[in-house]
Amino acid sequence: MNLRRLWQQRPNLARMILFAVFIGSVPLWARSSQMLSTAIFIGIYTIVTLGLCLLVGYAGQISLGHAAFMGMGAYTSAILSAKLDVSPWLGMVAGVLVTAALAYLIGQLIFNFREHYLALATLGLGIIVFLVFGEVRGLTGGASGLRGVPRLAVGNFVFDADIKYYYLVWAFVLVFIGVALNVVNSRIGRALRAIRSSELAANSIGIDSSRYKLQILVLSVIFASVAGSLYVHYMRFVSPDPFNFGASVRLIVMAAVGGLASVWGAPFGVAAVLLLTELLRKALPLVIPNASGEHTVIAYGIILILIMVFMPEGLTSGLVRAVRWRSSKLRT
Amino acid sequence: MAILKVENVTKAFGGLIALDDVSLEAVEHRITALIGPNGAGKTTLFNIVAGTFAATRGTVRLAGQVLNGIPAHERVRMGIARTFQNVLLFDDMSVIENVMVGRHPRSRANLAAAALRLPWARREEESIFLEAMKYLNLVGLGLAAQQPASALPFGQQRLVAIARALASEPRLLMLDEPAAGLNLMEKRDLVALILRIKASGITVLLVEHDVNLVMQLADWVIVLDHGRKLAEGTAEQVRRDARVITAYLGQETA
Repeated sequence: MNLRRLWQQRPNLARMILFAVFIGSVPLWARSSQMLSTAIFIGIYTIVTLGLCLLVGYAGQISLGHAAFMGMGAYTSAILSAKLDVSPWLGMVAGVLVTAALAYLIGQLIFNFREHYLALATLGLGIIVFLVFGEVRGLTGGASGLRGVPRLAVGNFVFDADIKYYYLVWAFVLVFIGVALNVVNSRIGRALRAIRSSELAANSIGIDSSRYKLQILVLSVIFASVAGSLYVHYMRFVSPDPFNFGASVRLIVMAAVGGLASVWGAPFGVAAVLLLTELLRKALPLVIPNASGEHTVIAYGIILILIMVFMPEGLTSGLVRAVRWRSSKLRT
Repeated sequence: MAILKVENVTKAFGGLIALDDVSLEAVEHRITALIGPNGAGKTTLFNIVAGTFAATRGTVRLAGQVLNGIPAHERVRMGIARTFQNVLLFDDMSVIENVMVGRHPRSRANLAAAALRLPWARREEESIFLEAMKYLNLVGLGLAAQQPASALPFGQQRLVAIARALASEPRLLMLDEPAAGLNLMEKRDLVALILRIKASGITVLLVEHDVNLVMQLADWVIVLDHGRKLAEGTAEQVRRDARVITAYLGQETA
């Protein structure tokens, strides 16, 4: 088979194969359990970030509450499977339904307005949802969280070891990358880009902008909810903290670092931010004694600004362009 | 038969009356030109017909059906397409994608079908591409298909916008100053293109400042001035109308 032709004619299929091979190979060389567990988290956050890229990068709508949508998936899964003994897979589906229904409701209310109300609405929703997670103790276990969430299993095959869960999560990631690419390269994807470019022009060539903004919001929170369910069945424990406002901001940073309008950038953005978080956690106390979580939020803010100034297309496209620019300079 | 009927339309922006009780018609398969000095209300009228603005008073009908209250995107599906004075192409898309997105109201793959890339959605995507190529070739830009839209010279961007509008298979095509910024050669090509569009059975409503172009193209000319209809008739009749000469043509020749 001619690989070069495949790359030229079906670039996304070729990338998908390459990516899958790489993903499959990671456990072969990543021997430490720490690395494998980090890779699982990268996968989980990649799913959320993919959805966020569709919403922010393609439709031009900002959500400041995506961690809360992720949390809704996580809590629905956890409550149903740990307290009511429902199958975890059904819990995942229920999480999707609950989260999507809420997003649909919010979208219906706000997309009739032109302005950036989604950012405010999702910000408010995130705060409310976070409070619900912490305060409705009978259901959620409050601030101390909910324990005893069962593992995912297919028949007798239980995803108990990290390596099994790793492959499960990344299989999900590949499916979601496929879905995101399909959407982007379709009639709907073009409509979304048209809306981001000029809503007036989009409307006057026959695109119902509020309808597509609503649909993409719902699709985007479905991604977040599934990721939340995968998260909770891996941790087997859930508490409100991973779904607070700071987490929503971190998701935006991940999407921006990877490239807002870049499906393939998502995993790289997530990996870069997660690894940087580890680094900051170790390095920040050396610079600022008593550094806390709030300091890392400030660091995210600075990173976000730097990215927007120097690499508005994101780390991946930015680096690719820089490399091309350098090699073209070398040739001449 | 009049395909478009504008009946007693008034549009006020706060205290400013942009259109004052204007009634006019566009006859099917003809080219109707809307002329008048700056601020006469031509673009406002376009916006009201397209559904970008709502009329303060009055009715707009397409083939007898009242359009008031119908949103802009729905009107495109009903057969009204337009271009803009300032072109408004989607800059981050290629030329062909700009025209493909114009096929939107004539295609139907929904989010689920697109996300799963169902066979019928894939076939539809191919036909969207082929149709878009057809319209791009019609305006003579088939070879520029894969270029970024923003890389084209201004005159060609105008043609892409026309192809994008045609892609929605309109019954009524509204062109807002299509010749603005074009050189003599480009204007000649534009005249030929608009005549071909007319020959394909599309009714054209044209706002244009270039009087020569209007005289060459228009079957019927309507003159607006200060938001009112000043005169209408064939190009010859309007050219000789004393009121028009003072209000509009007079200014240009003076």
